[in-house]
Amino acid sequence: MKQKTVAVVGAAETTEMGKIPNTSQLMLHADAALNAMRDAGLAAKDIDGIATAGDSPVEVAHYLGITPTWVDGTSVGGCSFMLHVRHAAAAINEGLCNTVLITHAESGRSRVGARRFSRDPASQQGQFEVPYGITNPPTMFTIPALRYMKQYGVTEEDIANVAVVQREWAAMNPRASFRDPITVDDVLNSRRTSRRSPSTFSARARAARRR
Amino acid sequence: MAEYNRPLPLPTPETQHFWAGCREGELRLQRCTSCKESYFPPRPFCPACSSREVEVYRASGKATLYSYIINHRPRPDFGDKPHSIAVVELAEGPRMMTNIVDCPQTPEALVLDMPLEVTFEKANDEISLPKFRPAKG
Ligand SMILES: [Zn+2]
Repeated sequence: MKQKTVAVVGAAETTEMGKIPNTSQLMLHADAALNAMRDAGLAAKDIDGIATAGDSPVEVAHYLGITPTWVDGTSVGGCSFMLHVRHAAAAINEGLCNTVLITHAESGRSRVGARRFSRDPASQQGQFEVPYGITNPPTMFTIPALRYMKQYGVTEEDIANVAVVQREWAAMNPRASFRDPITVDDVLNSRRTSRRSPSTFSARARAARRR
Repeated sequence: MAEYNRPLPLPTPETQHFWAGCREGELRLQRCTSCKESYFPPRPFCPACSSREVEVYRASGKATLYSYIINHRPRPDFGDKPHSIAVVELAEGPRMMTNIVDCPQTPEALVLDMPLEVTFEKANDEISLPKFRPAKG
């Protein structure tokens, strides 16, 4: 990619973190966006590019009062927003726009104004995956784990260590939901005492039980 | 038997033959007549070489257990009993998602690479889902 003078000029999160039952998903986009715009000293009229995934970038632009000349709705899962940054830098370099706003919002727990977790039964997933019980990360992302462990000789302890290290990083983030240190034993024991634990990792660890 | 309240597939023109096969108790795959690749899910062209010259054939129904999880989270449609969600590798090559049935839903009973065979679970007059059970003999 050509390198000119593209920079991240502002960044922010929603005002509240964690469970936010009194705010719709669209307003979560707007709340984080307004905070980032304030961080950068920008208003809607200063922004001419917009990108988001999952929700419609058109809807977010209308809601914020942005009239974009450049729009990106690339939606490829959780890494979409990294691609948006890349696309935005390329677009700015090419002169397609000057200032891009990238938002992500998920009313993940409260589900206020959030899309339903459903897939068209005629889609590829709807026909060939959903009928067998996959719904969300704990039932989807975990399936390859056992094969991975067998193929590469990875142990339960190795996988548990991923959560331990992630928690170490989270401890450095004052806005993280879970910051107390945990050990490999904590992770393995939590799985055994709480087989219905809702956490993704325990589902993964459970999936990765001895073969 | 209780009414089937789980999500079901809605066949499209390109997948009709597959679901018709399941209804009739046969697992139908497709194979490229140019490069001989077998593939799944169904589509009227070969994903390996892009040829449109493909044929439908009856697969053996034999497979091995490629990977799986046992879901312990209760769900309104799947109930609160632990159940497997698996990917199997068909003898003909392609992998497909399914459930392993007719055996305990435990790590002890579900061993990677174990031999499996297809069985069809009738949901209604239109749809039977291909599932897999430990191979007999
Ligand atoms: Zn081919």
